[in-house]
Amino acid sequence: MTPHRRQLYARLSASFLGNSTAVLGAAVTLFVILAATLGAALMPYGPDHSDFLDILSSPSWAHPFGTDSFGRDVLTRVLYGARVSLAVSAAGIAIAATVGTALGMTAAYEGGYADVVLMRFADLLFAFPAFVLALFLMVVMGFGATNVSLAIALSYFPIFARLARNMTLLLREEPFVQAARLMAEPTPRILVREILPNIAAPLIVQATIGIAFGIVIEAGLSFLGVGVQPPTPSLGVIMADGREYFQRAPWVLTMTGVAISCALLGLNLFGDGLRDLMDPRLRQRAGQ
Amino acid sequence: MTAAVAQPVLEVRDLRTRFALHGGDIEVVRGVDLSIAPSEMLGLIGESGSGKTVTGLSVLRLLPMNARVSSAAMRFKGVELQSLSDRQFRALRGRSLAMIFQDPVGAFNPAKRVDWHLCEVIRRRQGAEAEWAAAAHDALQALGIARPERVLHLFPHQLSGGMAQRILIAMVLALEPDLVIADEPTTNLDNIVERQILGLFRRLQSRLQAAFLFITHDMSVAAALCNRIAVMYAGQIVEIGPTAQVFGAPGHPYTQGLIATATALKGRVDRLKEIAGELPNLAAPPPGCLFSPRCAQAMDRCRTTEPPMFGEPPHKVRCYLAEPK
Amino acid sequence: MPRSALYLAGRLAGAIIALLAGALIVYTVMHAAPGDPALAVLGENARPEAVAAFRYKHHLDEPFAAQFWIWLSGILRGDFGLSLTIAGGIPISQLIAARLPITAFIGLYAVLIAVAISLTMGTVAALRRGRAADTIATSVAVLGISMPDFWLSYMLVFAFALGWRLFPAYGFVSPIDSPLGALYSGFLPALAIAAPMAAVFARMLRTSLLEASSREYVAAARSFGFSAPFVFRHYIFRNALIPYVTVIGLQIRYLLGGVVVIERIFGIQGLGSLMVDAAFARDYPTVLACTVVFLTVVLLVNVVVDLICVALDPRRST
Repeated sequence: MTPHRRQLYARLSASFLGNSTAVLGAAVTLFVILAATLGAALMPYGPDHSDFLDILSSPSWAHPFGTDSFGRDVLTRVLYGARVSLAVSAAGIAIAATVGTALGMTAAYEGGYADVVLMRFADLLFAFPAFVLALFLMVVMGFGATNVSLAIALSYFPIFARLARNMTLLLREEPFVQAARLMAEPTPRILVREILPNIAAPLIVQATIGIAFGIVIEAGLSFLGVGVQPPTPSLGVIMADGREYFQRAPWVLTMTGVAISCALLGLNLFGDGLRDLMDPRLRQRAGQ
Repeated sequence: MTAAVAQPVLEVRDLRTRFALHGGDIEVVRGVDLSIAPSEMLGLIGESGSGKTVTGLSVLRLLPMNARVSSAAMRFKGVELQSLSDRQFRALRGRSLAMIFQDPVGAFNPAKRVDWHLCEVIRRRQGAEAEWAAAAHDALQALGIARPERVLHLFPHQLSGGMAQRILIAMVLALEPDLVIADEPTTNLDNIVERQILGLFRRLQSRLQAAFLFITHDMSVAAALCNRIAVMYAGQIVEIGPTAQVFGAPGHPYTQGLIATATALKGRVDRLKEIAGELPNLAAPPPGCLFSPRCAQAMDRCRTTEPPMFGEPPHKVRCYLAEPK
Repeated sequence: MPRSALYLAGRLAGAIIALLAGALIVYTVMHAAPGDPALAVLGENARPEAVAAFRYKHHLDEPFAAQFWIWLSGILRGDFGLSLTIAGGIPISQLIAARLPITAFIGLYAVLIAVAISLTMGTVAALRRGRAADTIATSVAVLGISMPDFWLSYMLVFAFALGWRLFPAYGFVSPIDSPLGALYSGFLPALAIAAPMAAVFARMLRTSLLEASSREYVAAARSFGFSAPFVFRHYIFRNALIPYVTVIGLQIRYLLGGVVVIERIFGIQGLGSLMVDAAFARDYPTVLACTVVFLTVVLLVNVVVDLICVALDPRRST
């Protein structure tokens, strides 16, 4: 890392810490991730441990989120479910980001037909309502967690493709890119080493928001029954459970939704904070 | 009408404007004194960042909410402006105070046509029932705009810079103000158009007999148009006096540098290349004279105590070099 | 006038092309799906003759291009084919015709509620910038974005249907039968969809109002002595509308997604629940038809929103 870049990151970290939205978002997101990974493991119960003597009990010290119709501790299930939902969403977004960015950058760099075709395709994909497209894909590919990831990837791919493409177009004529080209560096190398670091930041912001979006899609699909299949817990699956006996034991569905909302809140705030950080006007005011 | 001791249209004493930012406050205008007589054009010159635009906006209360304006006195035709409520001040703005902006096209409402703009201004001045259509037509024609009917139907984005500035001047004329603050009105225009607009300014001055504050960084324009010049640096006025004296026998090293640069660059002074260094950081200003870090003739005293204004009115210089022995 | 007619024609043409391309893509994808639709419908142990007859009837043995053409030309006549499993043999177009108005009603209702809420919240937040009202409005907006709409619908049901018995928790009266009944029974579902959207709209409105306020034309307007309400109405709000309407158009994509799940929850017999039922029943033609119809709706709405934006922005209409 060049000293210039090190300095840049140092200044960015300073303004990040000064931006309360970003910090709060990061904190909440971190909390959610930790809860889903470590917290789940630390829980005394397993996600499938049924205690038939204690069905549908309301929240208590022993069971902070109550129990479901199988006597399973809801909090534990929610934590494991969060793990699954996060994994599914993150996987999908990761695919969308990688493929979308790669194609977007290439299209912008090469220009011509490749660019036009890619953008038309991305626009077309973007015209489909996200959930409808996901549902359609579930029908075609079959239900299940992996296909949910693929559906999320396909829904979000246009956003990354377009973003990467637009930013690469801006950078294509910059001197340092020209220099690399003159030095006969192969195109992939130029894209990855010169252009990518400069466009990474907005892509990361989109990825953060995308994971939030992916969680909602996964939850919705699983809630309907076409996503993650029980008995694997995911936040949507647990909510589908809770829906059966909503009137008698509303806490199952409610608390699961609260968990989803927490995750989404953290991710949204974090993404917002990052975006604020990158706003050139704010950066100017911070004296950069 | 006595010419001798006419009451100044605008009288400002110790104007200070600060902005409240996240990192702390910055004082952008640091104690400016101005006075402009009727029919007089005072040129306010300085580099970008010297605070000249903010000075103009401060007088007209057009600054954003995080700005704090204070001054010992700010009198318009004898009336203390700071004592006016927002409503009273707004009434003044429609009738007696006017501003001409740097970006002429940007001063219009992009969603409305030219005739809407003229209508609103004329109706406010002459009453809601006014025959604004005819008045608008005449106003544009008086400024040399051919085929006013066509122009009136245009949207702002369809106007050239020169055309837009003419229309804005027409609107200011319609207001018949007593004080006009023009903020770099020709900076964004090309030379030929600029000369035409400056001609319009001369006509504006003689028609209205208003007081003008002409803010610019173009020395040749200021020299051609203005009766008096005030040179601004880092929020302060460092030299003020009749045009001939300030340009002919500049007392402040900064003014001297400006003139040297302007002569080299033929008029425009965006960045002062003849004098090394940068504008001071107003969040943490240097002690003493704000110009001392860049001044070739700086003495020890300059670096410790801020110099006051020296010299016989009308020509004053904020520099120890001008101190009478 | 002829200029805007030309623009409209151009946009519609673009939408039609997009629709055809989209239809082709989904048809191809569906066609490429593993499994034999004949077996899926008739069962694994169907007799070969039955399978053959089925395949003949549905043109399953003809080349792909032919199949696509048959399907497409059918659609252009309004014939989506027959549903396979859900409503065995009933023309899909009949199902769609019955359900599309309901979904459209709920969607429109949701958009109206979202616009109403966001106009208020966004304006208040911008006018009272930095003060308590702004912080509250912005926080509520952030929370609103963070809640999945189907969870929110349960919370609303909990509060307003089970708790305070103000609205029905289930069942929906079609607007054709009773407009008032539709408004009443549709309120909670529409609100659930509207809330997250309202949050996004409000934030965008706030941002664009603040952005417009800092533009020089506002200072110029004030320098002419225009009053604050006048400046707000004609300069700030009027110019902030463009980004605001644009974002409404962009959100339609997510609106329709919300409709699908909400319809299931509230038992609304709309296009969304049709699609879900068809998905479970492996009724491929119906799923395909629903997808295409949703795509059409989005494309049409995009054209409409674009036209509104052009009308609002002189820079584009001249």
